[in-house]
Amino acid sequence: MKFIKPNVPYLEHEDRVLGGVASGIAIELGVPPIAVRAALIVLAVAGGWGFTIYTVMWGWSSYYWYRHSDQTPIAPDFDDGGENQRLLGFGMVIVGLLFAAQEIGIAFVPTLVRAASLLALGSVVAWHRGVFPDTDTSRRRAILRMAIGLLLAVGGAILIVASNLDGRAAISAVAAVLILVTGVAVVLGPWISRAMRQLGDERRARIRSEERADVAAHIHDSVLQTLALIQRQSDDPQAMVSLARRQERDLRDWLFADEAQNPADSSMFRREFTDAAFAVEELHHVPIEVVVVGDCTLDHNDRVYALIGAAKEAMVNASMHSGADTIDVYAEVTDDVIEVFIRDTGRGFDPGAIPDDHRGVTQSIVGRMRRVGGSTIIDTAIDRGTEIALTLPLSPTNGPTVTDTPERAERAMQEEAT
Amino acid sequence: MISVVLVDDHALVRAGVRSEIGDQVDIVGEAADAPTAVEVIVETRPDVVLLDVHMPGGGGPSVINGVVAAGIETKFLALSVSDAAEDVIAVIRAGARGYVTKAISGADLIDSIERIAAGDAVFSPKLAGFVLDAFASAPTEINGELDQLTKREQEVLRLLARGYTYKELARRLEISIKTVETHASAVLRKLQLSSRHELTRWATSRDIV
Repeated sequence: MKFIKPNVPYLEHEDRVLGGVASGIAIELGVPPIAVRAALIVLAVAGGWGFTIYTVMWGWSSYYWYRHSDQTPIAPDFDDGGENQRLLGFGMVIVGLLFAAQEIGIAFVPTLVRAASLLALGSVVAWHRGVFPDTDTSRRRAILRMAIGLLLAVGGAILIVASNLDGRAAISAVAAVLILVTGVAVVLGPWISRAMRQLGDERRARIRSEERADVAAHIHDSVLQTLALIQRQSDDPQAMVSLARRQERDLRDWLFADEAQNPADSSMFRREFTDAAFAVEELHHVPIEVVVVGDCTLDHNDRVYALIGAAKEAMVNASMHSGADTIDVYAEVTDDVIEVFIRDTGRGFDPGAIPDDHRGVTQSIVGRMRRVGGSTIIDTAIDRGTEIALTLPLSPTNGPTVTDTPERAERAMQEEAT
Repeated sequence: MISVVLVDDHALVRAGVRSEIGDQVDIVGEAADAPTAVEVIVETRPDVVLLDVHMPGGGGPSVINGVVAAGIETKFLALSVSDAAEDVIAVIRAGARGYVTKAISGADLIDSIERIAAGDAVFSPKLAGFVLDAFASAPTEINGELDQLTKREQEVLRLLARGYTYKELARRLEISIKTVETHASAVLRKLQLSSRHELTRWATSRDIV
């Protein structure tokens, strides 16, 4: 993999004790890591330079890339809450140790070393990640990071200045630095904030125009095409209605894309069932009003697929033979049963005298349901419309013996008698 | 003649509805956004308001709230192109007495308006399904007696969802149409008054509240 390699050692993840700085340098120089580590330790004991070198190299390197064993560069990332945060922690500890060692008097650490390490740490904290992150929260975090980094860096700078002066001179030098910084901020502040705002505006405008292009493309691809088709088929009202309905559904799916794109949806009953109804509607040009209450996962449950298949068959029958304007379909999913009702107010038929060419279809509904342990009730009479009720118990323990609730069977029989 | 105000931000829709039902009801006013709608309704005091769900300056619920706050009594029928559960439930909870989609035929719309004007509830199969869904998602032990749909109400809603008209439903259950209407109104009232924890959570989960 090729990427621009900065002129600094990588942090080596594979073989590391702390941040991977030593082994990174070792690989860069072509010497064993142990030699680099020994050198660093010697330098650390002799005046603390080892600490400083390590901190600075670590901070500098982590600007760039980690090298993983698979050679894939990974951008350092504070917000991942993992590796880098821990490395930053190490850096803080090391700088802290430098200062502590000096205070307690274990080792003499030159002021310059301490100041430089503080500066390095500050710059790492401030600049580790992009300055203009996208989201609000990460922008807040970035600002906080900048502030902490600036504080550390300024502290380091003040330490350097103060170490070479004493008393009043040091104070006035610090004051001078602060005044200078304030002055620069006052002069450049508005400009910087304007530049940042412009940057944000530009980005927003770009996103907007991309969205607009997306909408335009979609409208062209689907809506305009459909309108053209509708104009061409103006002598066939049914085809027009069906085209319009398909377009409407398509637009809805697209507008509520979050739901539609949810991968879990495709494995849900509601989605699968309404898709089946739409497929029938598209083929036979009779509007089907689908209402689904409740939902369940399909889990490749063949019985549920069989239920959907039987329902589809019933919808096809209603579309082809009932002569009704619309078909009402209602499905209800509860914990232990799925019920589906396919109803039309069309011409109906005499259940005792189903024509031969329809019997096969009826069998494929009734038979299919029976095979998976469900039941079918056909409630119809000449000129009274048809309602087909499909019931599928969800728990397999109910077994194929369950045919229907007695209540409904009785009611259906009453209905037929009247 | 029943007086009606049309509230919809699309002039095309208003014109379409007007041409379809204008000779059978008295359309006394139109409005294209929520604040205007409240003004027009307060001024004309119609029997029925045909209310769009999505509009600039606040949707259907804000119109209902505005009119109620002004102390005007009128009846709302939501008429929307959207059949998303959250829109429907929100406008019903705000006080609309029914919900039909814009695909409804002129005759059915007239019928619905008359029913609303007479004080009944208008349940499309879709609305019945959404209401069943809203109540079904609550486990029974949390709910008080009042917040629970009775068995009969559930039965009525199920048949409505299956596409039965009030008349067919009455025949099927061997009850009078008046009784069916009473059940439907009771369901609406329960939905509107309900502050049930579960229903609220259901609504929140769909960004309704």
